[in-house]
Amino acid sequence: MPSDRLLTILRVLRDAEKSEASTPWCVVAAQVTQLDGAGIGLFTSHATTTLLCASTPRVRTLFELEVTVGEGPCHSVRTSGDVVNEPSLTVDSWRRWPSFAPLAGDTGTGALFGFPLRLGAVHLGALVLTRDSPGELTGDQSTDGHLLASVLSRTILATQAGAPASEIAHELDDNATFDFVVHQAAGMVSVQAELPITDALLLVRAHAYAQGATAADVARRIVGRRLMYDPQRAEWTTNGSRDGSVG
Amino acid sequence: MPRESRVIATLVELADNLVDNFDIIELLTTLSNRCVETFDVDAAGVMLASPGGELQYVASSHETMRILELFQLQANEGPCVDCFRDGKAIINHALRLDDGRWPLFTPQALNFGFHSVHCLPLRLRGRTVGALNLFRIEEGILSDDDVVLAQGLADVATIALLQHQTALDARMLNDQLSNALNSRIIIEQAKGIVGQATHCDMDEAFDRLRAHSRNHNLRLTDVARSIVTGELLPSALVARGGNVPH
Repeated sequence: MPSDRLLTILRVLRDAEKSEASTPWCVVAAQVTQLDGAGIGLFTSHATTTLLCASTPRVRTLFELEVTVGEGPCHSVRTSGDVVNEPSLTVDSWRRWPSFAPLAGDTGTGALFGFPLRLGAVHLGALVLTRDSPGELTGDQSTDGHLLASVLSRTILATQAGAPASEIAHELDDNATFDFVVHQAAGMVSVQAELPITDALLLVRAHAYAQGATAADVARRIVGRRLMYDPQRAEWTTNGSRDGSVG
Repeated sequence: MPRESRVIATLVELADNLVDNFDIIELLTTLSNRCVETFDVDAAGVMLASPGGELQYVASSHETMRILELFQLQANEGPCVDCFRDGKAIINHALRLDDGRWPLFTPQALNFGFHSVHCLPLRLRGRTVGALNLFRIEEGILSDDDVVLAQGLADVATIALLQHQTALDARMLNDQLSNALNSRIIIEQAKGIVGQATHCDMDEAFDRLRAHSRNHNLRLTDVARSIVTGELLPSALVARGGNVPH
């Protein structure tokens, strides 16, 4: 009989709730499962996923990649409604995710696991767990993934409950690291480049990927007016000179 | 079945029951029954606060008159009242006639053969909305682990309460969250467009969007969407201080 998994999860979440500087849920998820990374994505309109939180910059990059190329663990969880296991991001997974898998592998991620966040018939998002090296989840880790998904689904909806319609509950916002700055930056770039907002978003994300940075980091430079897009030369400039070598 | 498997099965059972038009009494009865099966207690029941703030009995593991009476008594005094009022769990309280804590409840509970009680608050967003009451025939303790697990089950039940009280179901809540996220994204995009087009910072851009929505009696999200789709030009928004920017 393994140690009392659920008890551990409930304890860690309860302690996270109590502490002044509350531990983000995904950090709890990575801790409990003893994996390298965890992220929570919420399903929003148009088949996109909005990142609620990521335990590491690498997980953040994985979610950005998924939004950019339109495939990955959240999409697979959403379409299948089931657990997604990708213990080895090698050629095998390239068949499932031809665009996403090679890029995800390049970030140094070896294995990816997606657990549906659901309550009854309602599917609200996915919990993604990652490991740097390839390999299957242990039985305990798999149990933990299911339990975390179950507990987090309830927690997320209960947190949102009671907030005014069309607003995100403060408590949820406090526990999240939404990348809204990326959308501010996309708005600015859409004016700079005279592009529709969706293309501007892709431009920001592509530049982030080329620079090995997260989209949020690049976005902060754009919003801080330290980086802008020059449509004439089709390149990113910082103080009038070209930013990086590619992008 | 080992205790932990029971708890997990109950969590899944409760979560799976949170579908449209579920029966709140049935769900809380299930919770009460599972508590008796899982923990070392002989009876369990749930009391909820009415809109007026009074506790009312809603469900229990045993529908006998004795149990019902014990809950009805607690409209006025007893572990549930204290637990609800303080928002704190009462664990391992041995019932003694001479402690004078609950002069009506204690003699009756002893009379019915119960010798200790536990009570866990049902909490939602920091507010206590009711209490889960557990009774033991023998005096005895609920371990720390049991308390955490039982509170976990009670927490699952609270979302059911919320759905019940506010007539919100999980689907509506999820839609609401999803809409809120989309609104926020569109507003941030519009801030970026306005900021770049009119050379102002993000706070000023937001003020302009909000001023426009107020002046024209439009929803902020709709103003933001018009900016993003290009139907409304950033230059048409009034700047702080009332000037139309160049």
